[in-house]
Amino acid sequence: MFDPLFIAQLLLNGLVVGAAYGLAAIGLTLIFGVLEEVNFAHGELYMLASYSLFAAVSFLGLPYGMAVLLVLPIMALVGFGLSQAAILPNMERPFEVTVLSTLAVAMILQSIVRLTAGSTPVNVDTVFETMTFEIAGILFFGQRVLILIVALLSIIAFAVFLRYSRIGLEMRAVAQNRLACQMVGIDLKRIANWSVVCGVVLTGIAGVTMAPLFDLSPDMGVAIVFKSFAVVIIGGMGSAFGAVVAGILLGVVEAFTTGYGSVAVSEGLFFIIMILVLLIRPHGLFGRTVRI
Amino acid sequence: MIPRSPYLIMLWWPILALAIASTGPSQYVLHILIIAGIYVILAQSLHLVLGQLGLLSLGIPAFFGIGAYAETLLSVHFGLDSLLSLVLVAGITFVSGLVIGVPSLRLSSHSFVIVTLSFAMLLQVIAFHWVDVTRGALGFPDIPAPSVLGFSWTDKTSWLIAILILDVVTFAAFIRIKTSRFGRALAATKGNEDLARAVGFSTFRVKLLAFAISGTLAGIAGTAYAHYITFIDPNVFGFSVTENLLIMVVLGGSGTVFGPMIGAVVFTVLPELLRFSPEFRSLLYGVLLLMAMLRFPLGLGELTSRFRRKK
Amino acid sequence: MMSGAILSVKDLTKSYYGVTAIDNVTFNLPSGEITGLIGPNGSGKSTLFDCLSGMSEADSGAVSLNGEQILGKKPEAIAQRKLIRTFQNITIFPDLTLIDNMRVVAQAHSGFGFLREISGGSSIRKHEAEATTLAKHLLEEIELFELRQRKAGEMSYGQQKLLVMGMAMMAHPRIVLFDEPVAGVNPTLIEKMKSHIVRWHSAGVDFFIVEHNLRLIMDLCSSVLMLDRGRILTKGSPEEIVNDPRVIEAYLGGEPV
Repeated sequence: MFDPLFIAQLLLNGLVVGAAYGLAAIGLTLIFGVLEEVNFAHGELYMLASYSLFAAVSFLGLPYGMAVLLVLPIMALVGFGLSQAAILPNMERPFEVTVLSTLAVAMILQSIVRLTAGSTPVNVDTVFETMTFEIAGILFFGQRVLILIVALLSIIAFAVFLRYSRIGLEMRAVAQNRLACQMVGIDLKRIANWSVVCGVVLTGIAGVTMAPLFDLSPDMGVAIVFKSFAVVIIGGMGSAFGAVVAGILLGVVEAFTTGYGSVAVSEGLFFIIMILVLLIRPHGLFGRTVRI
Repeated sequence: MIPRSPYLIMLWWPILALAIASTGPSQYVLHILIIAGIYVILAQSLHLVLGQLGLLSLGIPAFFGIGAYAETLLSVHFGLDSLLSLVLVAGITFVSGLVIGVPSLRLSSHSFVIVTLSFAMLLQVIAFHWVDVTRGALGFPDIPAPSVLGFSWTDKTSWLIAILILDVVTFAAFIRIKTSRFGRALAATKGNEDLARAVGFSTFRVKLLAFAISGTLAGIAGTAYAHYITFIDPNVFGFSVTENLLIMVVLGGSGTVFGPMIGAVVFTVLPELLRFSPEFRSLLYGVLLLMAMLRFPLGLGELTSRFRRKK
Repeated sequence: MMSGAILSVKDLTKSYYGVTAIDNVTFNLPSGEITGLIGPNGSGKSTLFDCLSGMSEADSGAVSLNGEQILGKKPEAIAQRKLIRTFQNITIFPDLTLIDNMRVVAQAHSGFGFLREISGGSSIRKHEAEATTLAKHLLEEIELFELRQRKAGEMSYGQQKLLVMGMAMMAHPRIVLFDEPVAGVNPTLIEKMKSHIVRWHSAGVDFFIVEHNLRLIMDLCSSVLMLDRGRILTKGSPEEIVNDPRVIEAYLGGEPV
């Protein structure tokens, strides 16, 4: 039972899934950190990316790589639309309004997918799935390795963007003190659009890399948003670094509890840890001082 | 906002429903009216927290599901008189409301939304996996008919009457709450929470009580649902009920105390009249909700009239 | 602690983000007095009021009200102990009528549980009747009686400031912390507000008033505290304070006018 190979395998699986959780969660925490809005369309955006990939691969016959290159700009556009329709108009209003708006978008997206693709689960096959190789007795699946690489690259790329680009600087400034930024002339709308688009694209990357791993169904967004919330809260709302750390931690925990326990336990665990964090340390691991 | 003799005016709904029922309509029409009646109770539940206090609790399904499962278990394992079990379930869901409310209400409004939603989802997970008690994904088919003081029924006309009685009782309590001094405390808490505290109210207790009462109402709706549909499974904790409720409460006319009632009836009947498929209805509701948030968030009166933006 | 002091503050300190807002503040408010608190903007007056009334948690120190330690208690608990605090910004319930704004304060102090409030009953009705009588009386005193059924949010700024005063009285307070009660109010109304304060004071209510309006401070207060950059600069009678060069310097930064 404590076979080191088994443990190593679980660890690897956990890292892979965790990196993807982290990547998806960055999208959510970015919007919260910069704009203080909770994007309830998060899960459905992930789902949309996965389904768009499916459509590109199955109906357009595109190879995986090209499909991804097609889907991501689409996600950017969708992100822009989300920003215009549900987030920008409501920035000065009580945040519940944005919750309901993004929830509305979630409902719209899920319905559209149901109406076009039906409710039966579908599957995406990619060439990476059949690739496996073994190192020291541990199985590496091609797609999973790809997820890990892409996730880490995306996170690093985003961190660089945030740190060194002008927009990234402005985003960080707005996250710290919106009023001051407005006073010095930072265009809040532009920053809002950028933040939402970045967030949605990052979520989209998570969606397209993870898509081949599981069956896709129109309601898969629900579980995603639930897990993403847990990651964001545990990692600290507004902290991208926290999201990654928490994502990986939770991915590993999930792998181990599923491996040694059951799926039930791991599902419930996310939530229980989140509640505990909120009660004991509401800022999460790395969160900024959000009002408790 | 609250007209004279609201208790009389609220009778428009049972009178209308009974009038329709007396014309000898199809089983389908009766079914729609019964479902509307169940939503009338649920809409009050959401309104108490969202409309009355501005708290976006997405956790209504948690209490709906607890009510449904509790009633089912009491009925299947103990065969209790349904009136008795209704009171018991009301007590159980009230306590659940306190248990869930205490930690949730201490959090920021952002976390509150997420946590209340998560409670409902956690309960769904539990219901799915705690097979010994809940029979997991199989659920409970063949839930026995209710039995009140020896009198039992399964036909839809009797069900409609039963639901309408339940509606009248719960809505009367709802009106009572809103017109009482506690209702004024709710208005003060919503209008300016810091001031309410500075003036001497424990706004935490105010919110907690409203939250628990909201849960109780949802639980009562759950008991009716369980006996009427005769089948429940973990999906009772699902989000689709919330979708409908949001539209009912947000669009159901917030300027009047009857908003939830009107919203529940209109948005149960209308989609059926127009023969919308579930997916299309969901799509339409999403669009309506989005439009409502864009155009009228401030005009939604009770929903978003916050004195201070809580950010 | 001085006997005869209604409010006793010792070494109260509060910092925000590394900036010390109030710094080892110590003073006693004698019972039966109207005391003023002055100081330039940013001197910590509102923070002091926040700490006294429970809205903010001080870092250290002690506050006692009538001999009871109240530091760290919640705002509602402190209000129940009859220390009522008003705010600088508009602080009324905009969607309630004027008379309901008044009555809701009495309701908060009625001691009834919420379930009782829902079910009603004769003692609730009796209390409500008494609250209504008091509310009407006070509204008449402050000349807002005719407007009592109007929504508070529709009132003018000055009327809302008046309402705030009336609401504070509905709680039968022992001491009221008035945070800039006449800021932005026209001079005629200011005189009326002053007369209300005087009248209520003679009925047994103490006041601790933050104001920039030095005329009001001079006319009403028997003693004045001055706060500057979080510290008590000086205390004394209004005459002493106004002629104190340190006060003049802190406010005007230079020669006496």
